[in-house]
Amino acid sequence: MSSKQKRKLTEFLFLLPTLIAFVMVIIIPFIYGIYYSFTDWQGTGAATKNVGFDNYAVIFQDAGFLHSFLITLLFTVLNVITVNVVAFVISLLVTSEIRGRNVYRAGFFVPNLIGGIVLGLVWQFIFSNILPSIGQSLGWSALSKSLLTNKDTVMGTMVTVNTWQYAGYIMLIYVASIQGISKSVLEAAEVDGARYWTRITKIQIPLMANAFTISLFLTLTNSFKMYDVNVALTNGGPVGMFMGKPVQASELLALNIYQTAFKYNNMAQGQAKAVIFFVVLTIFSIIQVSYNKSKEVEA
Amino acid sequence: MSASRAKVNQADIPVAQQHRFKWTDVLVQLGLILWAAICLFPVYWMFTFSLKNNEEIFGANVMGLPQNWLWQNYSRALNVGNMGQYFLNSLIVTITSILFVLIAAIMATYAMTRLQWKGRKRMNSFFMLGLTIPIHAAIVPLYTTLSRAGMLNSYWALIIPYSAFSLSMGILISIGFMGDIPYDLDEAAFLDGCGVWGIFFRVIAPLMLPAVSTVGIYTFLQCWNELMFATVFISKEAYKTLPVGIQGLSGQYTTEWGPIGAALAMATIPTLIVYIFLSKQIQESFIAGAVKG
Repeated sequence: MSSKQKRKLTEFLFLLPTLIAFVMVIIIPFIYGIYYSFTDWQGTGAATKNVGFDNYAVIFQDAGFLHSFLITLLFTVLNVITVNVVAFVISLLVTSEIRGRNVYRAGFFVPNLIGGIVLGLVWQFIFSNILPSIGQSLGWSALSKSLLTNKDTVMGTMVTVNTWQYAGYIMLIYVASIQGISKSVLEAAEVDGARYWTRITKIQIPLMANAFTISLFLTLTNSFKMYDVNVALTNGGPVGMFMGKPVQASELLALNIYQTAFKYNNMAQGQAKAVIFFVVLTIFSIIQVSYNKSKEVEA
Repeated sequence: MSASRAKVNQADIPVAQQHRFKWTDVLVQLGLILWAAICLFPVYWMFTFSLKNNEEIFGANVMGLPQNWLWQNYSRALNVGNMGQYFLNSLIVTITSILFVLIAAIMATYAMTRLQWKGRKRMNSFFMLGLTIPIHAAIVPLYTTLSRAGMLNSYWALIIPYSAFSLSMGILISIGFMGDIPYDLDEAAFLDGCGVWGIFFRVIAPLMLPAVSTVGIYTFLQCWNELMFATVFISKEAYKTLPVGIQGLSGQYTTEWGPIGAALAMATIPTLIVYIFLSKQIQESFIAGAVKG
């Protein structure tokens, strides 16, 4: 073997573990998945035939899927707003000269360490037991029943729980970005007489554009993919009505895909939903990132 | 030093303004305390109700500390709820996945940043695709593949997908750290007669320790709490991880909440212990992953 061949082999050996895992577990299943979504495949590996766009035609008339799609969009939009507003405000507070800011920062991150299923169950207990008992003792009728069994409030509670969990993480990104702004710029503005509010809107926010791009991307993809909290908190319930049919009022897309494929064993349709899910998520992320990038300025 | 600077600054501020500043400080403190209470209350509540009986949980003492500390809730969760088994399974799956991710990611990073060959940039972008493909888009075909290979209900059914889906982030973080290692070291080692493998194992790998902790922590949190793969690929008790086990428990023991609380607490304690010792690194690993992504 020539030395050149030997070098090629070495390079290849370094990449081999990653390459194998990556191609076998992500790329091939992903491509197969797209192919399966055009067949009547039932997951058993038996002979399948090509059905064209039939699966897609069926899922776009499926009230449950369309409803999941819409509430996932709603959930994502609300979540992106609440998580980022809360995280940004907190990040301003914990980067001020306030006492104990490091302790606060560490504490605010704690919800992120807890698994989705664990915090989902804990919040489920809080919403279905603690809040009603407080509501009853105070005589507040709005709180006396669980907010999770009411189809009008269930999405709001999901957004609340997700904001509670995720704001601490996004806060860290904003904090890192605020700390990266050079002190001299802010001091110069202060000397020039810029008030606190002006310094934030005219200097800090424009200089933090990169952090906004990242944070919005993370919240957007995270909300869109939401699964474990959904399962533990509501498992899709309660029942609501959509297009004249009963649907699961809080069943987000990920849970809907899971139910179709593995509960109802409808693999091909589940996979078609997954393809739509992927395409929509990709389009949204690209739009969001390119829009935000166009707003970024160089410091 | 910063204290003395703060003093000078305060002296510069007119008296009236100083007063106003204190008021805002009080408000800010109150806001922060309130948010901290909201963040930590569910955690506090989880630990207290894990030590209570149903009577206390559902009425007599909803929010206070337990009146009788029922440690047997924990032993019940371990023995009756099979939590010991789930805990061990989670530990095996998580640690093996972390090892795989670390070895593969650091090797691949080395090949893509230190070795000169055509197409290494393209290879890197290819690996970054993994960040954009959600597990939902691959889970159905992956399930049939594992099923055909007879690998459902085994540790490998989780270790392989977990490792693969954590690799992209592992590589992303490793590239940042490897860029900080000076190239002079590679050259010096080369002149001393080290080959590519020698440079990797004797020079680069030991200097990648900070990356090891960052990537390791990131992978740990991903695997420890993962639910979707685990529910789909595992149905046998013997291989269930904590999230799946807990999901089953909550359906099974609807009559007794104390042991469920104990199970939730047990799943959370390892992460909290790691956080107490490595909170700086954990926060940094999340920022590193995000900012470089």
